[in-house]
Amino acid sequence: MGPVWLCLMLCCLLMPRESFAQTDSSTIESRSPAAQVMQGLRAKGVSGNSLFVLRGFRNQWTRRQQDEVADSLTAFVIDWTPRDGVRALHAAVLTLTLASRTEGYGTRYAGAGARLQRIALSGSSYSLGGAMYGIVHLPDTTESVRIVEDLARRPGPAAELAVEELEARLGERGLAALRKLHIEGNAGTARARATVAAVAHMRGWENAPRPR
Amino acid sequence: MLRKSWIACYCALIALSMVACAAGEEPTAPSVAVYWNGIDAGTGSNNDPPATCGSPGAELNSSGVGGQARLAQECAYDFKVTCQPSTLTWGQTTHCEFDKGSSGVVQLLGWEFRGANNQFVEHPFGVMWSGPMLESGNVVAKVLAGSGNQVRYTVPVALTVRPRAGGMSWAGSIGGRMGQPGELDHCFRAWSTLEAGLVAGQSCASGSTALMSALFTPATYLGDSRWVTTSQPIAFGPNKGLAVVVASSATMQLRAQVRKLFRSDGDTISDPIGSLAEQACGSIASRNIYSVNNTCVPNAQFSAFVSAVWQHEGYHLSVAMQEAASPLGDLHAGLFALPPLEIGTLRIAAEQVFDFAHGHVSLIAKGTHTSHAQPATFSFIWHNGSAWVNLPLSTF
Repeated sequence: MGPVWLCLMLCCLLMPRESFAQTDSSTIESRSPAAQVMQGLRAKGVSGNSLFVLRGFRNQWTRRQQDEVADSLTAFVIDWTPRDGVRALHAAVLTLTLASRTEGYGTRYAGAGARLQRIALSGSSYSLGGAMYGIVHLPDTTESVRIVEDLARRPGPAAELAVEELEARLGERGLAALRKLHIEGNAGTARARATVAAVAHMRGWENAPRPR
Repeated sequence: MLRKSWIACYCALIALSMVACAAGEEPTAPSVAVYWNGIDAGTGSNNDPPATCGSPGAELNSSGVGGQARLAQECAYDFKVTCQPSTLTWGQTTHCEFDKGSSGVVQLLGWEFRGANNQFVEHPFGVMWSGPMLESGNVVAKVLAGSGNQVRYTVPVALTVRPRAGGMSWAGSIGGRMGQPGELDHCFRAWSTLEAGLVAGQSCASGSTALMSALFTPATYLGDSRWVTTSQPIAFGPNKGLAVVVASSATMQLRAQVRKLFRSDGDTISDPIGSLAEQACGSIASRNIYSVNNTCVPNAQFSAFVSAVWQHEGYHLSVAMQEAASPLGDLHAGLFALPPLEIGTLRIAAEQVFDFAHGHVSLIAKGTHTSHAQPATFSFIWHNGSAWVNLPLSTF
């Protein structure tokens, strides 16, 4: 066997397998689902098939691929700049919101609530309202209340809005969490505490027993 | 010199090795895995490279062939799918057709539309599929071919729909002004929160802190679907069921207000005022904070305090107006930018855009506390709910 053939065999062994399959028409498609989704958001402001990936439509994606797509969407929103476009911002958060729902193609993606919480915690004015919408509308109210209550206790811009959401949109469970916040006195910001106080006044909780 | 030779040799070897390795992977039976945005609706697994009948990566997709998709020449079947036109204006009708070709063992299983924004429409029958288009994406024919060893093909035809013309914006119709006496008094929270002024939407309502801090009208979309108008969903074709937002009555009309307690029309307080102030007030029967500080004990710091509160709220109002006209706060622009969606999903998206815009405007406007309005302290006589006091009040 001459040196040329030896070299040829080595090349064949060492070259990445994917390289052989890639042609002009398949380069984009062979990227990871997360990379494709990001490319669509950044280049065209479209959400592509991100929702199908997250909901495991036709069982074509692994849980790891789903998590990568969800994490990419989350990172995109947190790092968003006006150059990315408002349409892409809305599309990314809407995808996470729709992924969490019980209805729709495939099955609900259970990791959506945690991602929306991360977005809300980032405290950006441009994403807070949309992320909070997704959290409040999670199919499991217990999860919604848990996340919103957590946001209300943390310092940051989300705290005051979280208090309002507990009162206005999360029913009796939200009110119970809010009353607990009032008794413990540990809403995350001064404005959030003032809002808790206002709710307590309106609802006659001001004389509620405080923990010793 | 040696280096150049090596590079040339390396390139040649790579080219040779690609042929060798590709040949080694050639499938023994025709099989097709066509990928579209990561969805493999065919028979291949998701990790396989795209492949067609003969060689990996050969033509099966429709890109650049004028709305047609067909199998490569070396394939056993010659069916094709066409959509004309494949580049459309918004709302223009496309006609898609399946031609089974000369083989008698080809069967169309149905159609799908996979839109650029997660839209999915199925059509189970008929060799033609036509309809008005609102969204770019792929029309996919699902084909079963062969007798005995049957192969399922998914054949996508890319359609490009130009964006909807025109636009929506509420920048020219939103407004705000200083409130008249009595306006929005019900929107103040308990005085225990020490809020001397506020900015709120014209339709803010008492009973819930969320309603009280609402800037937009309607104060909330809960139970109210009239604020957004959608188009009729497309009745047939690849975009069946899709609709867009065409109008919205939502607006933002802000009012700045000073708490009634500090205004001339403030409620009278009958508690004895005591000391010199009592003497000075003399026969004034109705005492409120305004009259005490203007008539009984004239105090320039009181009017300075009220002016500071108006100015402070004015900052909030002007910043809110500015942000509501920006791309992030313009609710109507956000609604117009929503992609065509199934009507239920579109409503969810519209509500979320409402909260996006409101959250942004609200958060930025509140931020003026630290960026514009400077804290100041004022001393005058006021009533803390149980007694007249002369404690300093600070604006912030």
